[in-house]
Amino acid sequence: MSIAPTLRPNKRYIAFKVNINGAIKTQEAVKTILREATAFFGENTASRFGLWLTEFDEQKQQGILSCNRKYKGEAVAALTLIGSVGSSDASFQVLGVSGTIKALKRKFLKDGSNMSAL
Amino acid sequence: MQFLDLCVYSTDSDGRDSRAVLEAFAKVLSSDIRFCDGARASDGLEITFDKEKDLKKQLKPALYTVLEPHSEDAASASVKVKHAIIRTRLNPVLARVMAGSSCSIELSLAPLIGSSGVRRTRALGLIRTNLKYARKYGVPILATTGAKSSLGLRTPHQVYELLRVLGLTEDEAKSAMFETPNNIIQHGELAAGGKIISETVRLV
Repeated sequence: MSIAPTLRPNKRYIAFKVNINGAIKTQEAVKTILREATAFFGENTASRFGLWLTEFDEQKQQGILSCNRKYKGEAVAALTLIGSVGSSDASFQVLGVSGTIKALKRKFLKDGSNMSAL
Repeated sequence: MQFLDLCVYSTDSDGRDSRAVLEAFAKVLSSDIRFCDGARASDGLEITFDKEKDLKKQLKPALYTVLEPHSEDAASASVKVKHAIIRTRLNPVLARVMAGSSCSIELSLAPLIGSSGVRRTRALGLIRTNLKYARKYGVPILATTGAKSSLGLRTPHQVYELLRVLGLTEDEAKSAMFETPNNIIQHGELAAGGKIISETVRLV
């Protein structure tokens, strides 16, 4: 049984790019984002964001993070606060935010992303 | 949304990337940066000091001046430099004098980015205190990244969202990102061009 469209949580999709010397794997990206959100906002608040790494391209180091629409600002702030991945300095650059993956790809990930759904 | 970052360090001071690299990366991020290395006429000058005497020794003409006083006496000396950007913990007395001498308080994101635990908690506490007094006494707030490499720079959108999370209103965040730094730069350019004769007289 599926949930009625009106009852589904509204989402926002955030396109981001990882700036780092080298490359990180999908699992590292997931861990880093969740760790930062939990560290800064606390477990209780971070659980409301509904953070989910929808897609990640390990070659281009670009990804799509989905979150609850109400907490879009907090999700972007969490990405902003990331300063390292493992022992390497890194930054997560937010490319744009959209209400649908299709629009997000059209507007911010134009050069034909090769992302795989997780 | 525009972001003018007045506190970026290149290899001319204690930064890790060259000016060209930082400028190119800032362009990609759609933000505007100024260096506070003090190496060129277009730079800001950063002074860290303990006593008024040390401040006097280091002062020289620059587009803008970032002051980091390390004692209470030094903080009260720093407000004598009009239109300076001051990096300290505000108190009511200091905030009132700063507003009177058109000084701005710096809200640096560097201590928050990539840190955790006690360091970040202290940085957040400092931001909250400064925000409280800056609002009460009308001290302009200035947002900076304090980036020492290209990986420390952030997009205007990211800075805006972080400022909102830190408790700034929409208008305060936009003003801290562009209006306040732009006013500082404009004042610096007028002063450097000899168009400001005194605090109240300007050549048109």
